[in-house]
Amino acid sequence: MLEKKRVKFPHRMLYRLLTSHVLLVTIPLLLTVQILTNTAQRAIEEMIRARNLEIVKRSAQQIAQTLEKAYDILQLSAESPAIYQMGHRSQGFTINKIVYEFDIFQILSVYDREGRLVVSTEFAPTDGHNHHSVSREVLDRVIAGQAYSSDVYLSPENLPKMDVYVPIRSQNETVGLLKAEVDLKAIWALVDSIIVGKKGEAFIIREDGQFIAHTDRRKVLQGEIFQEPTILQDMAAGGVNQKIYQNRNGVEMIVAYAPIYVRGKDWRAVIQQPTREAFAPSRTMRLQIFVIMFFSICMAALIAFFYTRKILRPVDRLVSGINRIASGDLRYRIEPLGKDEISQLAEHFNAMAARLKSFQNKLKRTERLETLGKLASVLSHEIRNPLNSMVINMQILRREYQKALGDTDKLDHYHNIVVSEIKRVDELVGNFLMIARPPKLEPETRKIADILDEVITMQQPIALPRGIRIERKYVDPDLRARVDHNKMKQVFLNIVINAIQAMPGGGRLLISLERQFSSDAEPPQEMIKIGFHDTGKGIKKEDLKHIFDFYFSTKKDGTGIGLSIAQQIVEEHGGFIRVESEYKKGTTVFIYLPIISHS
Amino acid sequence: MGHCAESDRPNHAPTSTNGKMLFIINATDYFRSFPVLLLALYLLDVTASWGQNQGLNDLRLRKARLPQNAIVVGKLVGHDDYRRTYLRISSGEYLITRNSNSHPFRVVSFSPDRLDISLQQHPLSDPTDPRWIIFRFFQNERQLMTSMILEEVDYAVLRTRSQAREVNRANPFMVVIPLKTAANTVHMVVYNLSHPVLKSAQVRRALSYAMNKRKMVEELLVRDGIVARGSPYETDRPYYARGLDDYKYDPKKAIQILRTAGWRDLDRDGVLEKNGYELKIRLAFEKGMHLAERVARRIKLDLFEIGIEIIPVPYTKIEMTDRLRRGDYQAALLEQQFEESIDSLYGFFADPQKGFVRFRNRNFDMLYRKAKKQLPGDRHRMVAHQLQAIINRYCLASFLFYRYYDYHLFNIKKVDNFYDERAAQVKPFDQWSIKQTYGRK
Repeated sequence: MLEKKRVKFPHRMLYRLLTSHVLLVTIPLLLTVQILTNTAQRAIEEMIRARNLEIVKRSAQQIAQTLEKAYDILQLSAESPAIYQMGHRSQGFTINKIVYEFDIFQILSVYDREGRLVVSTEFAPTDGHNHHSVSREVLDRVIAGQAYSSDVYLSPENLPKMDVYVPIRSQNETVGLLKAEVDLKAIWALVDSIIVGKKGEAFIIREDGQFIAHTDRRKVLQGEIFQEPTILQDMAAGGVNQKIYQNRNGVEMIVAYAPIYVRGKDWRAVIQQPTREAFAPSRTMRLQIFVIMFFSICMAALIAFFYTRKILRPVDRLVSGINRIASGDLRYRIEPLGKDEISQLAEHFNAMAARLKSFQNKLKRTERLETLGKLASVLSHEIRNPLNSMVINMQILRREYQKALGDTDKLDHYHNIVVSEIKRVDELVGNFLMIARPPKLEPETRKIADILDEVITMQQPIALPRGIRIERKYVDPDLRARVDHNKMKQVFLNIVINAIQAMPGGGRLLISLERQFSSDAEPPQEMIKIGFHDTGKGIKKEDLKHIFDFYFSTKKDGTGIGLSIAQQIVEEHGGFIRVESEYKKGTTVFIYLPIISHS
Repeated sequence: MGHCAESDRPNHAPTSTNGKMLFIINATDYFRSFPVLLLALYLLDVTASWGQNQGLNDLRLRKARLPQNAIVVGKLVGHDDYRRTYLRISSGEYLITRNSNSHPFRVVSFSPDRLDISLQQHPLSDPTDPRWIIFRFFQNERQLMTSMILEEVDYAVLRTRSQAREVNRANPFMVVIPLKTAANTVHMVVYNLSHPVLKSAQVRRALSYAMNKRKMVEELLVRDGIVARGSPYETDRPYYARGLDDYKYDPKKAIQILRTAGWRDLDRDGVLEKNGYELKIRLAFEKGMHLAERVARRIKLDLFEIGIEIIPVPYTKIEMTDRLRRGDYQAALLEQQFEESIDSLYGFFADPQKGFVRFRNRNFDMLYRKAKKQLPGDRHRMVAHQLQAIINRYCLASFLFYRYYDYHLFNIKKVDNFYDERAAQVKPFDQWSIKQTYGRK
């Protein structure tokens, strides 16, 4: 269960961080996009509506102008002497010229006051004249001086046409009338020029919905009618307007219309387009924004994923390191993870693990020593007392056999051996007791250099005959520490003796003294560093890790206790020992002790 | 007009499927007698159509519909004579007559406004093969254009780019292929040499000078053509004779010629007179042809300036042909193609059997006959130049302009495979294919 949690932990973190990152990006983005798109959509739609209205208004004006222009041409022609002087030839020439020049006039005819045809541009197969007559109503109206235009009608070719009559006046009297068959196809080109998307259409209708012009000319040619009563009703109200409605096929359309003001004609210019197409730009914009937003979120998620993973990777390693240490591997250390807080955490955790290891070692030793102490009590009682008794009794035995025998050299020899062995056993037991039940320290502030000098003075006589030179290198001779003088002297002595013994053929022992910052100290601090560098035979690598073990010795007559005791004493002083050795080249023992300032 | 034509349409058009047709072919062994076979075919056709059409309404509708796989070709009464209509199919070009059933087609309907031709079907014919060719004759180009826009016509030829563009713009399925007009197809005004006024070469020359040919090309053809230079032949053709008077627009010269000839406006009505004759000329032109009508109006306006009244009169092709043949005309606005041969020139202007101008001139006749008798064909060109010089000198016709292109329009929604790109010409009708998707929603 615990294992499961350990495995899942970083992933859950990943997901949570990822989700929070994405949400942090998405929520404001969504809100902004929503507001932006709504605003932009409204703006675009308004713009399209305004554009449609503008187009239809202008188109209506343009169409009206075109028709007005036609009226004006007719009016001017009717007022020209060539027409009103009623000379057939000049009239014929004039009206033919007009028809030739202006496509909008299909046929022009001149009638007299009685409505009889005088001359026409229509080429007839018989006598060159057609026989169209003018209705009395139209004739009366035009003779009265009013222009008249008929309703739009479809020619045999289904083209929308309109007849326009204008009076021909001479000296304030109407002498005839000029009739024009106006081909409204001429305004088709104007309608064609109105481009309303692909599915949009522009057209002109009469009041009853009859198409006069349409971008799809088939609708005019087939005589179709704009069959949207609601829109026609709205148009009847007049004015320029636009509206969205659903046409007969169920397609939503946006329609804009404007009246065409020309000589009382009730026509409408209309443009309409499916809203789907008209508002396509706003939809496209919305789609584009959402696509961009989607990709932004994807990118943010991707970046968040990699970034979160980068953040979590050290955490992951930290967690797995913690797991390992928690599983009991106190020697494991988390690798450096960088320079951030997590790295600091890892460092602290490593330090904690180191302290734990140290405490564990101490605890083990304490436990062991406790056991040894108990054993030592038994031994001291059960072995040393009999040994004392044995020595006393051996003395008695010697006195007695000397009394009895006189010359006892041979017996004395054996007697001494026995006593010597007993003392040896006693000494062993003494050492053992020292380890198992170390005597209480009696620390005092002492200069370390002084203790070292004492030891060197003691050992100089032993070393010199063996060709060993003891040198001193005190970088800071005034360094002081709170030490039990005798015990510390014993430590130094043990080490010096070992060094002398390691150089049977002579050599050099350099004893150094200095202060140094130690990261191995708990906590890391500045310490007194005492070095013993010999040029002896060195220690094999495989032996190096056992040198502080009890009863481990590479010497034939070594007890294997000296270094153990030394380590024990040093550690009791709050210091530690480090040994470096190169086989056949020499060994260096460093003793670190807590420093006390000079003052 | 169109509705009248519907009644002439055959209501027994083959509508049976290809599979059924194959059945008939296999069954022929059992029908030794030809009438029995025909009867069987008819019955099968009728019953098949009953199966396809349901109810009386459908039967009524079917009457109004075109026969299956029909190509409708638009023609103009002003330009085409239904009695002189040719059908071009792979096996050749055939004149369609009421009884041309010995050809690989059958004439089902033969009327002035419609020719229904049923093509002979090959036993292994494809369902896309055309089975019917229907020629519809329209009164004017506007009607034809409307029908094209409404897809009632699948193929037609228009004369101006603006017309073709208008149809294509209104119905993009009507595609336009401009094809060069045949060489030496000239628009011209031909004069009746026996007319009391027009028999005067001076009058004819004055008329020629007074016609603003350049303006016609610029305004009416929108530069989609070229001005003629006093000859029926185009200037870049070998038969074109250099050094001819090209009768460039010069109204002053025209007036001068007429004055010299004694023409005066005595009654001050603006029209010149001489010996009791007024310079009023009836100009026959092709009915319903927008370009011809515009040219006629341009001529009318131009000649008005020099005191000649032109009265344009539209005629159908039939009427025009008959009148020209009878000599019952004064001047005629025509579009005529001239072969590069002396026969073509002589035939049109002097041969009473082939042409209607009937120009009588000893030199003209002698040159032609001599060349025919004595000169090899490759030396006729020089004679043609001399003949042209005579035509030009006597101004037998006022040559106006040549159009560059004919605009062929095809309903690509319905027909396919109609154009031979390599030969740059329209394929014979039986090689076209009908799109099977046409008419389906």
